[in-house]
Amino acid sequence: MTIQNNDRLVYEAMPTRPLVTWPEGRTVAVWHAPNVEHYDYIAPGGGTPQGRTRYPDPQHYMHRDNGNRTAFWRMLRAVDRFEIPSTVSLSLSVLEEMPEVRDAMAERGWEIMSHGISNLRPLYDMPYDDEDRFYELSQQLAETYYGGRRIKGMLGPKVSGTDNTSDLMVKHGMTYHADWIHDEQPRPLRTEGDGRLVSIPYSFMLNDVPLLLAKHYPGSYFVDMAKAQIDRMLRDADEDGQGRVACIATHPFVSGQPYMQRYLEEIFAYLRSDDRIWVATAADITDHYLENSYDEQLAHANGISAAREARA
Amino acid sequence: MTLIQHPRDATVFAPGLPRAYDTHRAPWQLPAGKKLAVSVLLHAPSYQDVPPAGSFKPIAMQGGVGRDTAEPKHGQLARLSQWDFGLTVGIWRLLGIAQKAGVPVAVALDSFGVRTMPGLADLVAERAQEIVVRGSAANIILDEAMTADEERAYIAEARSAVEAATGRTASGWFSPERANSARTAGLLREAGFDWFGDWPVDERPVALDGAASGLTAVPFGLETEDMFALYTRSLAFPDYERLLDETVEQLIADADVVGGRFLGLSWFGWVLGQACFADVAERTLTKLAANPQVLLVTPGDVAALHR
Repeated sequence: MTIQNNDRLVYEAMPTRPLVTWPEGRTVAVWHAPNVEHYDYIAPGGGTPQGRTRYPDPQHYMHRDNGNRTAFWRMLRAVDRFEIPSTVSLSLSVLEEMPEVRDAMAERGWEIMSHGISNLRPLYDMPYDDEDRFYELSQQLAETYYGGRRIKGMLGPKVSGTDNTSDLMVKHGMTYHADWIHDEQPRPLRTEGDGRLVSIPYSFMLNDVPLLLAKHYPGSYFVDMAKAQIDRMLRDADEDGQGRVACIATHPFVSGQPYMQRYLEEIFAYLRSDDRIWVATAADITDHYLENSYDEQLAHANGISAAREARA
Repeated sequence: MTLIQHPRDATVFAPGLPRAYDTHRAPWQLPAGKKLAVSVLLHAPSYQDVPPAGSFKPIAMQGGVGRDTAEPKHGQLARLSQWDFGLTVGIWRLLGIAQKAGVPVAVALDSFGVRTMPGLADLVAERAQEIVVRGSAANIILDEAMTADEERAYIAEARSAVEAATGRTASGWFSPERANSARTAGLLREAGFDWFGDWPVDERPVALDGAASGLTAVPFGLETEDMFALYTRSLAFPDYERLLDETVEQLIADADVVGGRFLGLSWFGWVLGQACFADVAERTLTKLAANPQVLLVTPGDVAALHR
C-alpha cells in the first residue's frame, strides 16, 4: 500500500524534540543550492519554460541557456571568492552534454543533487517502472561522468514527484529529499521497508526564482531575506539549543545576472561573517543527522505517538 | 417602493449583518479608557494532500512554488509542506514571541491537524489562552453547494475533534480560507459558538441578527493579515511592518472621533512564523504591549466585552 504524502511526515513539534546539533558547536547549517538547469528547446509533452507562448519559446529558452553560458561562470567567481561549498540541483543532462559546466563543478567538489534530466520533464504520473529506470539512469550518469560519485538526494524536476518517489529514491541509494520544506531541521520520512530517507530543508523563501522572477522584488531584498532568516535562526538556536538549517537557492539565469553579483557576494560574505554558521552541503548535513540524530528523533516522535494512542 | 428591482437570484447583503456606519452609531467604549482593543489569532491549519471525495476545495490559495495559486499537481509537495511548516516550527516561534511580549493569543486548529499530528493539540492547549476551531483542514472549505446538514456535520466534526484533542471548550470559529455559505453564521450560532472571525467587515465587533443572533463577528482584518500582505499582495516584510505600525497609530487617533477600535491580527504559523518574517511579529507585539492605549485581549474576551 502506497504511503500517502501526509503520512510520510514524522511529526513532532520543534519545542519537544531532542536537540539536533552540528559539528564544532555551530548552530545554523546553511547550504547553497545553485539550480543548474537545462530546459528542452522543445520538451516532450510540449511544456514551456514560462507558459508564455506555445513551444518553442526562444525568449525564455535563451534566457535560461544564457544562465549556463555566462551567468554560471560569473556566479562561480563569487562562489570561489568566498569558498562556498555548493550542492548543485542539477538537470542531469548537463553531465553528458555540457562538459565545461560539469568539469567546473567537479573541480570545485560540488555535490550533485538530482533535479531530473531536464527541468521540463516532470515526474508527475510517471509509472513505477519508468520512474525506477529514471533513478537508475540518474545514478549511471553520475557514475559515468562525475568521478563515480553516486547521487545522494533529489529536488524533483520542476519540483515534481509521484507517490512512489520517496521509496524509489531509497531503492537507488538516496538519503535526502529536498521537495519537503516543512521544517528547519532534517526530518525522517516514512518509507516502505527500513530505508532511511530525510527531508532536507530547501527554500522557496530564500530562493531567487520566487523572490525575483515570480514576485519581482529587487536583488537587495534577497539579501534582506537571507540575513533576516539566518539572524533569527542564530538567535533561536542560542536560546533553545536546536541546530537549524537554512538554504540559499539560486539559479544562474537569475542570480547570475550582472546586476545580481553584488547581492550574491553580500550574501556569501554574510555567511562567512559568523562562526556559528556551518556552510555545508546537503549531504554533509544529512550524513551528520543520520549519524547523530535520526534514530533518536524517530524514537522520540514514535514515543509521543504511542503515548497518545495508549491514552485514547 | 424602491427604484431598484434586484434580480431574484441576487442576495444583496450578507445575512445576519446589520448595516451600521461610523458616526451614525453609538461609540464603542473600551474599559479603562483604552482606545484600541487588539486580538492576536494564530492559525495552525493543516493541509490535506488528498481531501476526501466530495470535499469542497478552494479555487486558489497561497503557498507553494512561486506565486502560482492554482491547485498543484498531485506529487508536488511544496504547498503541503509549506503549510506544514506552520505546525512543526512556525506556530511555536509565534507562541514564544507572544509569551515573551506578554500578549494573550488564540490559536486556531483544525480536525485533520489534531488527528494526525501527535502532540500538536496538547502543546497548543498548554500555551494558548484561547482555542479556536478552524474547520476540517486548510484546503477543505465550506461552500454554498453544501446542504445545511452537510455544513452542520462539518462544523460539528471539527469542533468535536478540536475540543476532544485539546481538552478545552471553544467558543470561537474561523473558516478555512474564510469561506462561507449564506447559512454559515446562523449554523455557527446554532452550534453554540459565540463568535467567529471570518468577516473583515468593521473596526469593532459586530453583533449579528436574524438566524445568527447571539453570534459576534470579531473582524480579523484582511489587509493586516500576514498571508494577504506578504503573499497575496507580495509586500516586502519591512513594508508590512510599517503598515501594521501605521494602522495602530491611525486607529488610536480615530478612537477619539468614532469610539473604541478593534484590530484583529490574523497570523499564520507558516507565514509570520518563518524565521525571515518572525521579527516583524516580535517587534509589533512588543510595541503593542508597551502602548498604554491598547487593550490586548483574546477574541473570545473581546466578543464578551462587546455583548
